[in-house]
Amino acid sequence: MIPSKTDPRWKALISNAESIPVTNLATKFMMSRLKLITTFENSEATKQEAIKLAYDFFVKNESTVKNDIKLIFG
Amino acid sequence: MPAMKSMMTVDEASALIKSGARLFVSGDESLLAGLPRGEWVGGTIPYFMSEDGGLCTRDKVQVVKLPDFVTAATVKLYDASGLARIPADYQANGFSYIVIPAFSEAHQKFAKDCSTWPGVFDRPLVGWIAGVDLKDLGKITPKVVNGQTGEVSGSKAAVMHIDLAAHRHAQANIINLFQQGGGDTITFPTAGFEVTDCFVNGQKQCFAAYVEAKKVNIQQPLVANYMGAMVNVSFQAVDASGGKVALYAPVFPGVEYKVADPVGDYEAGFLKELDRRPVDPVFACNCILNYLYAKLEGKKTGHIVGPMTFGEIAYMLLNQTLVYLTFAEN
Repeated sequence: MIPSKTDPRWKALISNAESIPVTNLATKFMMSRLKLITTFENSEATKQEAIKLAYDFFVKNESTVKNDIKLIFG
Repeated sequence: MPAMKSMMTVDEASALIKSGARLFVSGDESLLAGLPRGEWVGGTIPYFMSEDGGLCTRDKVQVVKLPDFVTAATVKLYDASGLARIPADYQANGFSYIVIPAFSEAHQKFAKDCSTWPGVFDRPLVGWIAGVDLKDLGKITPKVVNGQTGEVSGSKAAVMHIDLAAHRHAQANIINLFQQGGGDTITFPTAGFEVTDCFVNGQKQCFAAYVEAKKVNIQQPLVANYMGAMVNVSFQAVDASGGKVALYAPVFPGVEYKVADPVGDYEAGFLKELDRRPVDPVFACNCILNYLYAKLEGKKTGHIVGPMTFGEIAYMLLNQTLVYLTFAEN
């Protein structure tokens, strides 16, 4: 189940992306993009941009990356 | 019935096209020019991994026939300024197959910008960079072909957007035998295929001087760790006197690179990896540098066949990496 964008687990994902052993190649590349975005500017606006990017990805790919979603959100 | 051989004469490929089959075709430009219009997309390359091993040929094309559960396939050409629209054309339950002419503006633009395009990771995007016989570098240019219209281009990316029946989905993946070595951590202040400055463990240096001083074997790529996916950037040339290093893919600021550990026996390493994860790809491609450095002519990479290319694409431009696409049940 994908939580709403206001769920605190999204910010945890942005902060700790590298600690989650995701398996899907698209998820890995998408999460690397999140890391790059927030590496250069760690403002609240940038974090929200990263959360939107991740949320949209998981919503559009819910069936194909369900194992990664489970790893991230339980 | 025996499995279809991937290497075909123009007549054999033409017959398949005329039968209405949906195809990916790779081969010499003159052979692609001899194919009839139909449901296919093509790119130029004379290097292949065939069922009989690696080979360089201008006599046959290599063909991937898409399965019957493909429900629609549309080919579009995109110039460099239009590449960012590719994800908007992704099919609802499909994947997209892309071929880009090497050395074109589209090649450069895709490599530098693709990961920033909204939605680019939403469907599998796989493909390769078209090339030419290395003997013809600088004499002829790589091309792509829209088989549906007959348009040939040396500047645009050709993309076949493919939709699948609801019970299947596509998965893109990679096999990269290179791992990050245990040496210095290298970062770069700017993105690009050509590098002057770098930071080695945080200390600014001339990258060409570093490569020379460390006697880096430039057959071993730089490797970055993208959340567990090892992404290579291969060396093209080191100009120590000019202080420049040319690469086959761009490096990016904020990404940490390390020179790869050497791969001893590529063929054996590949078989070991295939034992670990048995796959039966509908499409695969591998790198011309692996073909050259690992001397793959006449040798096999397990049962995997496909063009040996000037760059591999799995969402992003990759180097010295095998890219493959599989299908799974929903």
